[in-house]
Amino acid sequence: MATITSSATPKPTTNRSNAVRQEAWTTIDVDGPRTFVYGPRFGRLYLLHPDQASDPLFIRTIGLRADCRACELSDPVQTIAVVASARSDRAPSPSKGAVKMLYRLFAASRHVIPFRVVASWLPALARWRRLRVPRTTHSAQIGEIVAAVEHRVPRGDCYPRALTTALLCLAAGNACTLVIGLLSPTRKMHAWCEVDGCLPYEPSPEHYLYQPLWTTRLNP
Amino acid sequence: MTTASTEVVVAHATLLVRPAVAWREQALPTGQGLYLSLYDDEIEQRANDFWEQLRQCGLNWSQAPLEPSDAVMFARGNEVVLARGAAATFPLYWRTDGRRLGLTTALPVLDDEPLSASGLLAAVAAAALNGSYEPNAFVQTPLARWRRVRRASWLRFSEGLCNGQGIISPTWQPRHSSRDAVARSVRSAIDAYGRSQSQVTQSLLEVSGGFDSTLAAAAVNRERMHGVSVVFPFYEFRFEEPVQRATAEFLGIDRTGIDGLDLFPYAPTQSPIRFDEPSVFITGMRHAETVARFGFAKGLRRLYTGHGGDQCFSTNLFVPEVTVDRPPQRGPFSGRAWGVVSKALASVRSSPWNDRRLGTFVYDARADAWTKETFGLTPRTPFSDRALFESALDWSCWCQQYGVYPDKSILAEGAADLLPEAVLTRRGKVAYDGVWMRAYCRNARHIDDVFSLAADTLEHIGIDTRWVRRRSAELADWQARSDREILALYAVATWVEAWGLCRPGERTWVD
Repeated sequence: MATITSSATPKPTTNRSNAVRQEAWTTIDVDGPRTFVYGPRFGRLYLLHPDQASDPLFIRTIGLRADCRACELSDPVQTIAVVASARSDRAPSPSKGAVKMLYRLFAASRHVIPFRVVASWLPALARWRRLRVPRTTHSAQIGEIVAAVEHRVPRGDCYPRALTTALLCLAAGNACTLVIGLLSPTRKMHAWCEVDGCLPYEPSPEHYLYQPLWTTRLNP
Repeated sequence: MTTASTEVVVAHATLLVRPAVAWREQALPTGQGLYLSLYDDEIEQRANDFWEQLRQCGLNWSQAPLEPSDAVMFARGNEVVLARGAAATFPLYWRTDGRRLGLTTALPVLDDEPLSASGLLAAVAAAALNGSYEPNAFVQTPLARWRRVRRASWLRFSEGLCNGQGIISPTWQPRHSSRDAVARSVRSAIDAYGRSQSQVTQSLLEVSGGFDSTLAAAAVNRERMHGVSVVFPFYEFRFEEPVQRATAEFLGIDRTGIDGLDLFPYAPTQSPIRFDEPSVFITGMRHAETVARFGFAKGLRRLYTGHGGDQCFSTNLFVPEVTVDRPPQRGPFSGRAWGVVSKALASVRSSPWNDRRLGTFVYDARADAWTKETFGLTPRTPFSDRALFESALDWSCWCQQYGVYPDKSILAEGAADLLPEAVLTRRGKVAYDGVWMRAYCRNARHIDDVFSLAADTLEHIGIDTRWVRRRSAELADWQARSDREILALYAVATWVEAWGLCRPGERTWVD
């Protein structure tokens, strides 16, 4: 499995909340001279000719840094902690009201605020008292909380799920990675969150179908 | 392989039975009965079970459970009753001619029958909304005088006229079972399926490495069984080949890999395939043809697949079937054609047969009769068996009770010893969306040729072929466009071409 090469190892950037965020991105070629790029500035996917994909000005404009480019990004997830129907006969865990509210806010922000911007707010949001996630909370417990929240919303979606999972991981004091992937050559995209090689919750496992295009590492 | 059709008379009805379909006659107190099935080696048992249950119900046939893949007809005084299973593996059509009722298991397209433009356009609507599933919301066919017998439905005829029809509801009743009980019910159904296949030798299995096809083979006699796997070199398929290899090893069968790049959707078949009606299934027929030809060359007689497993165990059977998010656009249709398509779309959306509990979406068998008649292989999946479908209803019922979405974990619990570790721990089902998109690029020229050849007939029924060809070119150029219209119209165009109907002036058309 290919990984990020040392020459392309992203340099950490520091945001105002002192949290450390590292990004990496890559391109995915389709049959013929076309390549997909995800631009985090506007949260959009671009299908480009290769010369466009290497144009430094264009790359900067869509919110990417040349030194964060990787030949290929590997999926950091090795296991999934909680899958919806594999859960046992018992009723779903009670959801936290604050988490449910944030899940809905994340879902509503989808068409207004780019994913990277919302992701950059998560370390600060994670310190919000009402979240009250114990430091000992592990992936499976986070997965259960997210599953319980999704159980109570009309329609679950990977976008708020990934952000909510990352928020809970950070609140529990764990670093995590948010991944945006593409089912190439379609324009179907998927977002997921990894913590220690584990994906806390997916209703049905599907992240592995999506080839990572952009990742961001969030530290508490 | 094809031999001649057989004519069978039941009361005032004459049924033409195509070579692929086996039939058994039965003398009933009310007249003659006829049981029809694609499965020659199972028909005796199935027919006996059905007639016995019918007798126990006092000939109240609506309470006698019919195997979903089969059909039955019988006389009752002056009446003829016809019932077709929810996952019927062969088509059934009827027309009345005075006081006689004509029935057939193969639409007589080459007879001098008037064609129906609205029948063809309705097929477009069904293909666009329900994919390859047989149109069940309406009964129109491309032949103006012939009507289709819906799946999961019964019809009653008297003196050549249809005087009653209805839905065949499952005899299954909701019950509150524990998860263990559901797993046991699944296992019991799989074992029953395995016993039904005990006489079969020389079979072919499509080793996809999934739960369904593995169970289809693990439960049966594997004497002289061979496996084939379709292999794709794409990212999303990267975990498939090791699972397929491990599955074949577990089953103890030889396996041959076939390059998926040659079997993309829309890839042309070696010889034209004549489906009774237009079907989106035609886009995958290169795959079906290659696999069947492989089995034929090895002298195999049965083709095991896991078709229907997703619908049974990974779908909530308690909610109606959903149609596609993006229905076809007005774009390629003339005003009149769009009126017909819109009406058909509305009838598909509001059809009472969209109830998944009926089982009409379990299995689409468009290619089954053709595979048997052309290559001598009888396709067989366990998931169209009534017992297994009823255990799937148990599973959906349990999942509904606990607020979770159904998945194959219940198969892992009920039949763990029949599944290799590689399958039990596999990641999930690979989406074919990327394969489809690549197919438009790779087969662009063939798609354009098909529309070009069928252009006169398509224009005759109100399709703007320039729009269609432009759209398929855009898809080939990776543009984000809906392919609904192309899928549906390609099905019609290939049907027109296969039956030699490219010159509309040579046939009579109505409506």
